[in-house]
Amino acid sequence: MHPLTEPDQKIIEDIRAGRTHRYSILVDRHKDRAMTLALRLVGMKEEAEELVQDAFVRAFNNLDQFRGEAKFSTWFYRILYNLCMTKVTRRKAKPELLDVHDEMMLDNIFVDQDELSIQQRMENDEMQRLIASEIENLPEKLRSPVVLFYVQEMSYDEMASVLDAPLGTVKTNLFRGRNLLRQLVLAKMKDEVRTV
Amino acid sequence: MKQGSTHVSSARIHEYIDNTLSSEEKANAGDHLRDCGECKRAFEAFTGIDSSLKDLPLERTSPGFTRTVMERVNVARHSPFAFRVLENVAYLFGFFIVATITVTAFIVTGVLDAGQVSETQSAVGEVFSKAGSGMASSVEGLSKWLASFLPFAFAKGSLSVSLVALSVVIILAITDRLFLRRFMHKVH
Repeated sequence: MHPLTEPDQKIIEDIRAGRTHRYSILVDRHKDRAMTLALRLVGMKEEAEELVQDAFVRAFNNLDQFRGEAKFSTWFYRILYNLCMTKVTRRKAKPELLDVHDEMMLDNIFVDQDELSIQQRMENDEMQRLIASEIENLPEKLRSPVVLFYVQEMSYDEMASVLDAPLGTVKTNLFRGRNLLRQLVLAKMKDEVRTV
Repeated sequence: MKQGSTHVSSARIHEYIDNTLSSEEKANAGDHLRDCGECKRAFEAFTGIDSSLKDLPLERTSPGFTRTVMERVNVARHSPFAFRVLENVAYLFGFFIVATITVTAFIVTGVLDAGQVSETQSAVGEVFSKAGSGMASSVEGLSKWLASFLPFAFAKGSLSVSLVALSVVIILAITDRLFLRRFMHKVH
């Protein structure tokens, strides 16, 4: 079987059988998504890369604890997520940006005609740039589900497993995260349209 | 948009986009989204952000990332505990080699008097000799102490002692394989 199409589980069995060099296939396969997750969570590239490395080493050393009940990626991202959260909690330099105004925006789901027309006029690249920058302004508890859902393309159940949270909480936080992000992006879009 | 019966809730629109509704719920929501301008507008706004989010480019790791991980993994996996101890002793061993070469060079070039060196050697030898005899008496004491607890191991002479020593080595090796290495991985 070609390494690109080989299931993670098969590679893990090979590693357990002593062909440890095959771990590089798993690293290559997951490193960019892992890097994206870490960067969105901790905000600094060097730090993110170091955490991804640590997560891969830790995953390898604990591979005997991986029972294959969940996907390797879910299990691995849980390790990475915990490392990132430890780092973020220790740092505490960056305050959570959820102020009173943001709290009010969380459940405001009103979409006016302006929003849609501004969105439609905006180039996709420009929109992505705004979204990437505004994700960092989401509070951690809302940012994690948004990143896991969109970047890692995880299901609700997988997110609940990675975040170690009840399914309902995950769904609510994802909904609120999306909503707040939409409004933060909209505010930026309106600013940019005004300055143009 | 409103939570009332006439509109689809915002959460439901997200579930519709995520394709997590049952086929019946999906059909009902789809019908409503086609007919209701307000909900349709919300759906389009959410979808716009959604597709941009899904298409966000992935961040790339530095070149050589996988190699670095594999090096770290190999160091952690393949070095037995005993090898790590030897690895550290290697620095001390290297220092002695360099020191010996330097002293020999000094003696050959005449910078150091061979007589002085031999005096130093005998002084150092004396220290080692004292340390050696101290260690020997300690071992002897330990043996006597062990013999009082394990008389069977010492009763039949050197064969029993060898067997006990071999057992200790085997136990240490198994401990190293099963626990110490695993412990060292976690520390690493």
